[in-house]
Amino acid sequence: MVLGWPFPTHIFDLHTAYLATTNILLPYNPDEVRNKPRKRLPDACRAYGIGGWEKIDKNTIAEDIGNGHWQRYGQERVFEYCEEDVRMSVRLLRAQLRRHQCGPTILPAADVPRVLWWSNYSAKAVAQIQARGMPIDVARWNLVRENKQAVIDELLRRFDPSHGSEEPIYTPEGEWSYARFERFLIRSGVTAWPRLESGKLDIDGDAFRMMSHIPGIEALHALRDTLGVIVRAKLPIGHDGRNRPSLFPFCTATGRNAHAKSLFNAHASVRSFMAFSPDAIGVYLDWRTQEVGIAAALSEDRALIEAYRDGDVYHSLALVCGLTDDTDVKRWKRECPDVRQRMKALQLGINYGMGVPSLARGLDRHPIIASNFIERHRRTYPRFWDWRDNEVQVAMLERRIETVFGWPLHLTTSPNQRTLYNFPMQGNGAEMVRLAACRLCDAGIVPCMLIHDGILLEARNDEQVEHAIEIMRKAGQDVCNGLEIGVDVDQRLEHGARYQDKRPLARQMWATIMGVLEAVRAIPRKVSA
Amino acid sequence: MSKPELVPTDKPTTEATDSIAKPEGFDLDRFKSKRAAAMANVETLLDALPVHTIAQAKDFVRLHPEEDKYWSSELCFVNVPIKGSKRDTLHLIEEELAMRFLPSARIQRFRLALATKPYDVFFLCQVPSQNLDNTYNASNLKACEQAKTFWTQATSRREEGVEAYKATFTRDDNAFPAPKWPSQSLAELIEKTFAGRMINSEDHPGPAPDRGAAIVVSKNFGTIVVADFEYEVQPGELPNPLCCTCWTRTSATCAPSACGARNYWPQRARHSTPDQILCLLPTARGQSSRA
Repeated sequence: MVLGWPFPTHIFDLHTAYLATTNILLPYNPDEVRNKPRKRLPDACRAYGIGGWEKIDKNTIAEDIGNGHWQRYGQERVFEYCEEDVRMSVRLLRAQLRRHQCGPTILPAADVPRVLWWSNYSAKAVAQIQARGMPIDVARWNLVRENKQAVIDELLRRFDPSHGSEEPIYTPEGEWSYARFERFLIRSGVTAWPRLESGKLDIDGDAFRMMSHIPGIEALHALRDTLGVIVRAKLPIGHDGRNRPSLFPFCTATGRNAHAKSLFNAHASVRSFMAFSPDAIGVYLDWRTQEVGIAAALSEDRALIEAYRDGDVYHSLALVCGLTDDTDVKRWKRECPDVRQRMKALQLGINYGMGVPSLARGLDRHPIIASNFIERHRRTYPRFWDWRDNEVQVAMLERRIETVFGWPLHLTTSPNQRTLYNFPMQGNGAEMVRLAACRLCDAGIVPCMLIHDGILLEARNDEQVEHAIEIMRKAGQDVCNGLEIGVDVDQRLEHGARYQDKRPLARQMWATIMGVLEAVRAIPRKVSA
Repeated sequence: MSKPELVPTDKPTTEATDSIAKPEGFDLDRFKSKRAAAMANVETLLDALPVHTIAQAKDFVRLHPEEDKYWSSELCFVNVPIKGSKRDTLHLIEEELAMRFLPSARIQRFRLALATKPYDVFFLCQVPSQNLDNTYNASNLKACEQAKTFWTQATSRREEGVEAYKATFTRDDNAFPAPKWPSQSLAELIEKTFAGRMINSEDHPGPAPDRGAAIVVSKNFGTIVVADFEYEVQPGELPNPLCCTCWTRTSATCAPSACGARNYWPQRARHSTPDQILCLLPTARGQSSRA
């Protein structure tokens, strides 16, 4: 792309082929600390029993070339290095095209038509999306970096529930302490918190979301995600003011992207660093309750399909659970955001087989009530439950589960059942994003970023926005056997408007950051009306 | 052109210039066998032999009594489906290739022994060597052992609800003439039998169903280019390519209409010679290119 060369007609991405072959769900062992195995070209060659890398210090040369120090080696050496990669790639390609046995490991032959199809995404679409990147208000970002300590102080003061105590969770520099967080929970009288089977506290985002009913926890979660960006300040921003994060396609077990160093890896508040140019329309489009839609379509549960088509599946669930008798969806959504949030946790928890104790903790209700909710869900959507169990049984028998378009997850012994329960929703959600991204690129509407179940676009006009919505809707239908998955415009930014997340906490946090910049007179103070 | 002359059909023409001579009377003696099957004391060399189990012979069978010479050790086989043929064809396959290309369930392992039905109707008998706990295999092996000494017939007992073969043997040792075992070695007989059906290289079309991926590529793509770029990149910037190496392979057998990958590479790079590696630096950087 940089050289102006057109894309090849077909691309067989060796890395994607390797990921498809080695996407293996290891035995469930939450106590084992696992380092994610590296999957670079030398690792792929090693897996296929191809040797020959030993004489080259790959890591050092690769790092030096990447950092612009290739002159240290000279042109000839770089050529040799590059040639070596190609020779190995050729051997790897040959190995991938045949079933390969290396010791006890059997690697099946690559499914060529599928790899070509996946490579359209991983090599063509992703290259275009990464090159495009997200527009950042660099001036504002630099001001925050310059006044980092003041911003951190104010954020801690406003959002750290342990601030001012003898043992604050954060250091003044904004570093999180697990031990202090544990003691904070004890001091605050929090008797139950999700734990890993190792006994350690689960400090994953899902655990924070589940426990957000505890005062201060939601703010603490937001603070954690925001400080992660501000303290380290490692957003890759180019000279043209674009944030270009790596998408790492297919790098999660479900086939979703494993993007890093983007504004979408942080709390929603810092997404306000994003500002589109006045002559463009920034839109953030997302599929409406994508995972529930996929579950409804693939399970063919009529009741769930109807609930999904009615517009708000969480309202239907609240009715089922007897938590509301209000049939006006819009009014209920407006007046009962807390209940809706809980129904969201319940529905997503059920999707991946969450147990009664976890659900009770998440809903802040007695386990009998949580159990009752699950039972009501089971009776209302029996087909969905049967389908979900059947999917797992078939996967266990075939030692493999795959998405509607064939992205596989291979199973070893005793896999985590919840991962299997969740795979159809997450894996097919990823298919939807991939399909839409490829079609958008083909239509000349290159996305700025792909996020879980949404796409960020920078359109030239309304026609492009409408076209993009139509493409996403069609992609949803294609994945979901014709069931229409609604597409919502979450953000529409015109005339140089700044991205602003709708959640109140995100707005408060952004306002706090801007307040600090105003206080230090880095930006002019807003005149209140 | 003169008008054709009409000739009445009931009046035979006398001048039949292209008449076919009437055949002489049928003489069956012309087809009579006048010589012995083989010249005195010169045996007929056996050609390809059928390969099947003792039960599939559906007759009394003798297996060669010299196990060390006419019973092979365990060999590897694969059934290869052939388009247009109803049945798969059994192929010999080198174990290493079989392990590489075939799922273990498709690899068959058994011994071959020279066997004959009455009156020297030879065949290669499949002697089980795996899963001998299985009652069919165990009773089959027992029947084969017995057939070294007696004329033995193996029949399935499935209809009786028993998963095994029943081995019966002739009460009279001279029920059939003693077999005239050929002098050819077992290796020669196997070689003739499996001529063209021995998979001993990767290029053999035999295990094709399991090399589907390679075939899809070689049949559908005229030019395959394996390329790698080296580039430098600063955080957030677009990569700045330094050099590119391509390996190309052009298939001469590829039909033009199927070549999805023609004109694969822009003019900047040259890759006319198959299997050639070339490197270049983009001229935009003011660097010289190298071929």
